[in-house]
Amino acid sequence: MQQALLISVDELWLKGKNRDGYFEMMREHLREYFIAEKVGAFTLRNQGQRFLCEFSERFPSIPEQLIRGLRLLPGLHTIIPVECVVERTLEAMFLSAQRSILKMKAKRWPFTFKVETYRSDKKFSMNSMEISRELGHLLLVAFPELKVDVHRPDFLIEVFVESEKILVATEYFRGMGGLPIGTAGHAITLISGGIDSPVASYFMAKRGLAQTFAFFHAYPYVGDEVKEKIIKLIGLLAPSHRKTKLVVIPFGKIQEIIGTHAYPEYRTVLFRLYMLKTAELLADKVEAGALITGDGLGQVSSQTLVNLSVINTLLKLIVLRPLIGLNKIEIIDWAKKIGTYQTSIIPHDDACALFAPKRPTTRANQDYVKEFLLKHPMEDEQKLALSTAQIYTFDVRGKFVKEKNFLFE
Amino acid sequence: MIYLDNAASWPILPSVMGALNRSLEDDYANLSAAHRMGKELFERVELMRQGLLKLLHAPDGYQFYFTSSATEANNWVIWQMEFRPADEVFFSRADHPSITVPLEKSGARLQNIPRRVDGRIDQENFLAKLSGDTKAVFLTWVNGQSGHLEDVSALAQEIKSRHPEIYVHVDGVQGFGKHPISLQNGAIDSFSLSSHKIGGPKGIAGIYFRQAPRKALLQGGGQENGMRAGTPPFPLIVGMYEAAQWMEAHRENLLNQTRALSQSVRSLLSSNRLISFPFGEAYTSPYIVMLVVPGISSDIILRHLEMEQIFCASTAACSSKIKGLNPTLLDLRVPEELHKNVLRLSFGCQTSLEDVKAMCVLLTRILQTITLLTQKR
Repeated sequence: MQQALLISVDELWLKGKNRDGYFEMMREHLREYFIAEKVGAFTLRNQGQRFLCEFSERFPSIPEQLIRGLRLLPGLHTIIPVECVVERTLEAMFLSAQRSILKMKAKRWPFTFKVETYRSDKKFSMNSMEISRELGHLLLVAFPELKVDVHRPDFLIEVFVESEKILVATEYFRGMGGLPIGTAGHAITLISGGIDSPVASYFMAKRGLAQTFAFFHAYPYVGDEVKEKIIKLIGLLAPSHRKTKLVVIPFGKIQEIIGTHAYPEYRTVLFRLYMLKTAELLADKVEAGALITGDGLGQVSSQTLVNLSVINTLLKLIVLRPLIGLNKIEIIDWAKKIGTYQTSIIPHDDACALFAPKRPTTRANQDYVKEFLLKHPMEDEQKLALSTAQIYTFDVRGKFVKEKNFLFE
Repeated sequence: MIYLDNAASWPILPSVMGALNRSLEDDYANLSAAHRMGKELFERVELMRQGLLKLLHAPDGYQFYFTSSATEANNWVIWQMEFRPADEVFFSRADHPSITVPLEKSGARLQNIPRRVDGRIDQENFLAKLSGDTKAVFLTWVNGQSGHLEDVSALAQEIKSRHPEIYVHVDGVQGFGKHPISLQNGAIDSFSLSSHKIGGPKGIAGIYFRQAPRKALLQGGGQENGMRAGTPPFPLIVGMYEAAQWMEAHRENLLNQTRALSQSVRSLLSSNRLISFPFGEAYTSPYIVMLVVPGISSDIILRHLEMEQIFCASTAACSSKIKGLNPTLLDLRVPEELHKNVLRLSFGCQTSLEDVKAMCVLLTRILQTITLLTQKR
């Protein structure tokens, strides 16, 4: 029996005239994904709110890993594996549903079920209610142990009556939701290797924001081992993106200059300011329009309202801080949910901790910071950092594909 | 570029390079071949073998075998001993892993050689611990991490005078060619050495045995007197031999020159309150100087030095991948909290006084910057 996928797109109903554009972005991402997954030939048919994806290869059932990957694509509402019943009769629908129930039997028995029918082919001889009722009846006769529960069934059998075939679904997976990647623009995500920034990236990917990742590498204060960890983290985030780039920017020199010339209690604030400044330069180069950070209000000294706003006034681009109102434990829960937590907690040398003063300021003086920036613009150092940065590219499956040096002009 | 990691490997000596090149080009025949070309090479290898035996003043009856590395040589010694669980074996955690690892797997009852607070072998205490159950003792001539130099010949003699049946092996890798030694008293049963630590090529090393090893290492075509089959790498042997001879000819001058280097490092850096030298000049080889920078992680210093084209080591190359506690340093009585703060400078014949002075200036400057940035104020 032919297996297929019904993939519905999230939030399309919010869109008006630009709806086709969103749909096309989603289609492109799905195409890239299926090609990378090497599923063989496939067709993606537009069915209004959703795609019907059919494969030339006859899977006994849709591979779990394929569905797991689809659940990481921003913009998908649901992923429903279906059996295509070409012979459009009640009998054929029954046989298909029976197969699913027998498969289910191994896991759980008995259970309650419900049949739900959607009929796009209005010329079909029975209406939706009739199909649900008749199919339910046949199943109850075949499996007397089962019961129907129309409110909270353990097992939902969905029947889609199309003009050429009938699709029978018994499983249902929630997608990531949100908007297709790229439809909200492009931003630079500042990634640190900690717990927060990957979650921040995930939240913004969910809203369709394509991202280039920037890691500030405090070489020679921190060794190259940390890069392995960052590459691993980006590899976990990359499946939500199309062709992900990680830019590893050498930052030790700039930190050294700050550390030598600034009041020690201002180090952390100034490190962050110059990282964001350098990220703005990078944004210029890769045509990104925003910065993403994992800041949470008051979480550490550099994330007090005063410090955040002192930094903010000295930046040109909007800084998105999707975690600003989350508690640490909530961020940790999200990190576990999206699978980055275990990698984030791998210990690594951290220059900020190494340089951290005993009492970092929680209320930075705006004038001092401004003056420091005027006195030490470090534009050449920032440009040098970018021109000697390394770029790592990942494919849609999160596999690291290549490394090269970034040539800034 | 300033290279101060000679204990890990030396740059090849110019005279060795010449000899090696010529030999690679000319001496391509197989020395086991029956024709004249082969026979000639065979005779030359035997001459070099005799020459190497002479270099260590090995008495009659000693044999010398070529191996691919000193690791192979050390492994061979342990393997051919066929230790049983009741056998007591003395060794040091500070020995090279090619001794400690196979010993730990050998099943023998291992005892650590006692050391004094300065990391030297506590001879009196050690000799008192030996008994009729002691099967073997493993000694390291010059420790690759700290430079500790032991008078292994005299110590072996002491051991043998009390317990003649105890087998004494010496890992001679870091001392061979650099310090004088004699196997004349016959107290050392086996002695391993390596070529690339004295400016010879990598891939060749060797071992002296007082008596033939109990077990052949490799079976096959019967090369190396049937003890280690496989075609001997003739050009590499030429390279090692040339390096050993060169070192013998220059040993004293080089030792004096290196002593000056080591003294200059100690005097230039001893006034720096960030640096300390845990081990004294009197009992360490001048080829290796170990220093400690409490509170600053040595890998940070190494990367800074590397950016200035200066290459040295934190811990010995073989153990620098181990994080945290270092068994060698622990055995040498270096407190655990300093294990991550160790730097090892090691010199070779190409190290100049200018190199060392330049390094000291840079190191002082780097430590100043790092301290400024990392001190908690």
